Amino acid sequence: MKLLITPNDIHKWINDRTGIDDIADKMFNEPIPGGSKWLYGLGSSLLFVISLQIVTGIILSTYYSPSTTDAWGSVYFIQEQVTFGWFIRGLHSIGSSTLVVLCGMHLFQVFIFGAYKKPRELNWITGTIMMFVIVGFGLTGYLLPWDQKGYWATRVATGIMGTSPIIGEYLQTVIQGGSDYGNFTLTRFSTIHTIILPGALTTFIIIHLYLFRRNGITPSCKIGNEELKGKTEMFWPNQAFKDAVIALSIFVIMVSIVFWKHGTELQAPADPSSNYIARPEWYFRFLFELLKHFEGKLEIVGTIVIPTIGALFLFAIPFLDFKESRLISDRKPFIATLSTVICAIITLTTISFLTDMNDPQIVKQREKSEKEASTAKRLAAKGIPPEGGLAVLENDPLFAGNKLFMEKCSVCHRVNGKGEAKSLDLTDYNSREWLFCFFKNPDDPKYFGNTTINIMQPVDLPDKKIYDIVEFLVDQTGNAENVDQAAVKRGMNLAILDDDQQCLYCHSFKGQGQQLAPDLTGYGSDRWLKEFIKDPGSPRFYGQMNKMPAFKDKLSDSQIENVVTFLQSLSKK
Amino acid sequence: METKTIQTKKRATKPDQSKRSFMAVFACFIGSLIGIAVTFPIIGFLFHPLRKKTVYGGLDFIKVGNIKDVKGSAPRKAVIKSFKTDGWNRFDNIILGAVWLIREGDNKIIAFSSVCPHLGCGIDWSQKKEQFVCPCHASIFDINGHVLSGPSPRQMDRLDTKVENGEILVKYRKLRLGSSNRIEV
Repeated sequence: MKLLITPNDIHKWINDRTGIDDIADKMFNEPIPGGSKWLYGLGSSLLFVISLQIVTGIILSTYYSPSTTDAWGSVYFIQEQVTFGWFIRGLHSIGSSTLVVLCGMHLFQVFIFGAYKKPRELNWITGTIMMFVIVGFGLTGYLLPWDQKGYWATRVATGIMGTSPIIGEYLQTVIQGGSDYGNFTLTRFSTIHTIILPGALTTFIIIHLYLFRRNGITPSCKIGNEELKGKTEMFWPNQAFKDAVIALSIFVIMVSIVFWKHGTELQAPADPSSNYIARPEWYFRFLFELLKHFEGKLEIVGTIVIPTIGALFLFAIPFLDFKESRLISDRKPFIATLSTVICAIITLTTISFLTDMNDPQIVKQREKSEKEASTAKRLAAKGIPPEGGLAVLENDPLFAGNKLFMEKCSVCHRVNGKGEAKSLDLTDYNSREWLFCFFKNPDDPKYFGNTTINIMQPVDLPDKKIYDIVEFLVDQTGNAENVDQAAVKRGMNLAILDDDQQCLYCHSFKGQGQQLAPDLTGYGSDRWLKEFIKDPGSPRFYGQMNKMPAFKDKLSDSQIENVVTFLQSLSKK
Repeated sequence: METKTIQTKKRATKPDQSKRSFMAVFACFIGSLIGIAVTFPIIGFLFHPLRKKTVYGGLDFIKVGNIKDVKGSAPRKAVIKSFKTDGWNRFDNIILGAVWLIREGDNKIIAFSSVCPHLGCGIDWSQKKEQFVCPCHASIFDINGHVLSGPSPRQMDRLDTKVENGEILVKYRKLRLGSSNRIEV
């Protein structure tokens, strides 16, 4: 008695019930008249990249969240946090471009071969439909990260949709899920991108492949039937080998680009208030350039009329070029027309990119948006507030510090005309100018004038010497640029080391002097300010003269650090 | 189809055969290569939550109310609110869960997580029976959290507490469900 179940037994068991061997035989043992060809690999490579897109797309959807508050955050998380997230997202993104390129090549090859002629008209039509489905993937997928790039480019696309006659407005509202962009725009685009279009594509792939197998491959028209038969090869393994090599080459190129770009870019979160220069993905650039040449009432010609005529022409090709001969010499007008269109597309695309590259304003704006993108990503690392991607700015210490200052400090201090003038005006705080004016007149209402502190005397020295003392203090802050070390030395001599040592009558420096007024060791540095805000009444600072509340129990350490960041920024304005 | 295949195979000469099998092997090799190159990152991507915490928050003691509000012998439910990191999001003050507070003496509080150790439903207090009752699978606990009946594999999860200046603080923890031991998740 046999105890062990061998793989052969399992194979037989399944085959008896499914006839899987017959299916495999039909799939792989297809005779190719005229033999296998590298060019035939274009169709298979499309199938390969589509499979990659399906796999990476499904995987990405395990992290992606389609809502205006979460979309950017979830894509940021995929790109920057998840293991290999950048790779999967990058592969999916470059996959879309690869598909468009391969689609174009496949279409061109089929066209040159005249492979759309009777009985293959429907092969062509289903193929063309799939090309539009793939373009639809690109259009809807571009918006999903809800970053500046996708948001503004897609706004233009739906805007164009809205200008189409009669139904435009309704169509736009339905697609957007409302009169403006919002959560429903994302849920709808996401559904179209991940459910409707994949369903449509899969259906058409099945039909396309069925038709392809039914009508067979289109061999070269220059070789006679007998010769073709003589050269017949099987799909497996002859063509499969060529397909595999092509697939591997494409994959290697895709992966190299993904590594080179470390995934794909993610711009700053969509900001409806910004003046971002909207540009579509490269494969729509020719349409974008086209629309620039039609103004006013004629705009619709560039946005809708010409693209529609182009699409209809594509579908109609098998019926316009209906004669039996597939020889190029017999189809000159059609070859010429399509070649012209392709040249026009390439020219328009090139013009569009060249115009942008040579426009200093656009180049500048690009740099700015790159900067904003990296700031947003850096801030997002601290977690994105529930208000959404744009709220990451609140994570910025400067932004948060400014906000805290306005909440807690502006009840006494004034900055740039905002806040109460009960104590020091902190506009330009600790800048050279601010310190100089302070030494000139400490009792000015801008300084101690509105406080009970009045022991600081105006410094009675020539301006040049005051500037030296200012330089000495500025050096202590560790927050200034271009410090003049010679001046620092002179200033330090005047303030601390001179026989006079006037400053040390009240102030202390590195353990010397009195503790009647704030310590000058590391004056205005991050650490000094932090400790000062925590406890201004400490003997190190204002001691008994102090009226400012201690913030050590009112604000957390990180909050105080944010306020310090804000204060330090004031001298740099 | 069947006969055609056989005919082609018959026509194939020996060197042609070896070329064919080389192509077949190579095609399979390339297929596996691409398969591995894609599968490896996908596994890393999908299993990321095993490598790094994606949801966490409220690790320190969290204020849940004043001791004056927990009176008498009946447990009182309190909501745990604290910061939470949830994937890409950071919430500064969000509900993490709830605890049952029981006063024990002047300045001592016992806290039980409201999560049933069985399968995680929210445990309720029945004042009439003076028992904790899980509404899902009828686990019943006494006021000390001991299992009286039902499927719960362990007693209610007691959490560390302290009282400072009249404020009750609880160290909120989520523990693995369905296990007879207390294991933090």
